[in-house]
Amino acid sequence: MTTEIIKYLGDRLAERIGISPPAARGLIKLAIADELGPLTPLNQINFNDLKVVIEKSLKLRLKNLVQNIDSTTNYMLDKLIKNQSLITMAKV
Amino acid sequence: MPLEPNFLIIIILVLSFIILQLIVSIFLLYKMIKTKLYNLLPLILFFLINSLLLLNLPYLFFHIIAHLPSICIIIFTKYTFYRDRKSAFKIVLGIVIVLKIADFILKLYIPFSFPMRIEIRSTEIPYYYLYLSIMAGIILLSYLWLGYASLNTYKALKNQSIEPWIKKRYQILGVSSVLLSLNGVIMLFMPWTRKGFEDPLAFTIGILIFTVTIIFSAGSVIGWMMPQRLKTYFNRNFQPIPEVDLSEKELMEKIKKELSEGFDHGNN
Repeated sequence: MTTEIIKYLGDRLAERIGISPPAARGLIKLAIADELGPLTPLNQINFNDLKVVIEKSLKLRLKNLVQNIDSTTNYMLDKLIKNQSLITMAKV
Repeated sequence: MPLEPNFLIIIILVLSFIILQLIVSIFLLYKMIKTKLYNLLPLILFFLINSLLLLNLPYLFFHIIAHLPSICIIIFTKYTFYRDRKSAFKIVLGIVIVLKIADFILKLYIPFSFPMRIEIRSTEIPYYYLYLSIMAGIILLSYLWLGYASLNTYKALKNQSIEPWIKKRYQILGVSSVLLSLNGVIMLFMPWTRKGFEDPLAFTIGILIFTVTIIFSAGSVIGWMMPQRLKTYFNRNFQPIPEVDLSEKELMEKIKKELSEGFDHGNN
């Protein structure tokens, strides 16, 4: 199950680098599996987990795909931080 | 001793309020344990302490825990909306703590209550309004901040592809918090008569305050405990973006293909 925050971040990444939303969501899920392990339930991921995922594994994944990696990861961090309440609002 | 009719109406409103708040706090406690969303803890404490404050507590204990719910709301707002982000948290919390201490000290000298149950001298009337202003300041600061955070996030997300029931939750919580902050203004009109709720103006103010508070509590029940039927109703026109089920290799190939060919988001 993809959570609302992953859908939201996927949509922002898709717009930012010019790929489809499902592909971007898939890329974020791969980054989550890289960082937290493939068996981590997506609905158990919290704000700090997602921050680490963007700063580390998503950044690594983006290295092979886009050139402006730092600005893309900073953009994604900014979107996560500004809309962090979506984690709580969608999970309760 | 038979209860005065006005007091009986107030008691019914207070009981409704306590029951609604307790229901939400138990629900949120269950959700916090299930989802490990520990930022919900201050919100749970807010509802619990708020209910506790309406019971007949010892005077000193009551005034120690008075306004703690507002502090809980400020902490909840910080850890739900503003983690790792510049915000008014320290300023809002600092002012509320200073006001709470001032309120406590003031009540050590003159046992103010809401509504008043003792006669005060004319020289003490300015202090009575200081007491009301302190309460109003605490209420306005804490609930307006939560209302602002919630409605501001709603504004940022309203055109995004997010399930509409979630957007509705932001709206309900934001509007009910702003509404609750109105109590800060209404309470300034409470007279200093010792008749309590048997005074017509005090009774009207009491009814207004408890009505607003019950609307807030009902908003909390609907907002946080939204039934599945209502979620389905809000989502009735929502078309989610379909997920793709691809292996890692297939997904990476798809992304590379979209990057080289360019993907049209339909923005142009």
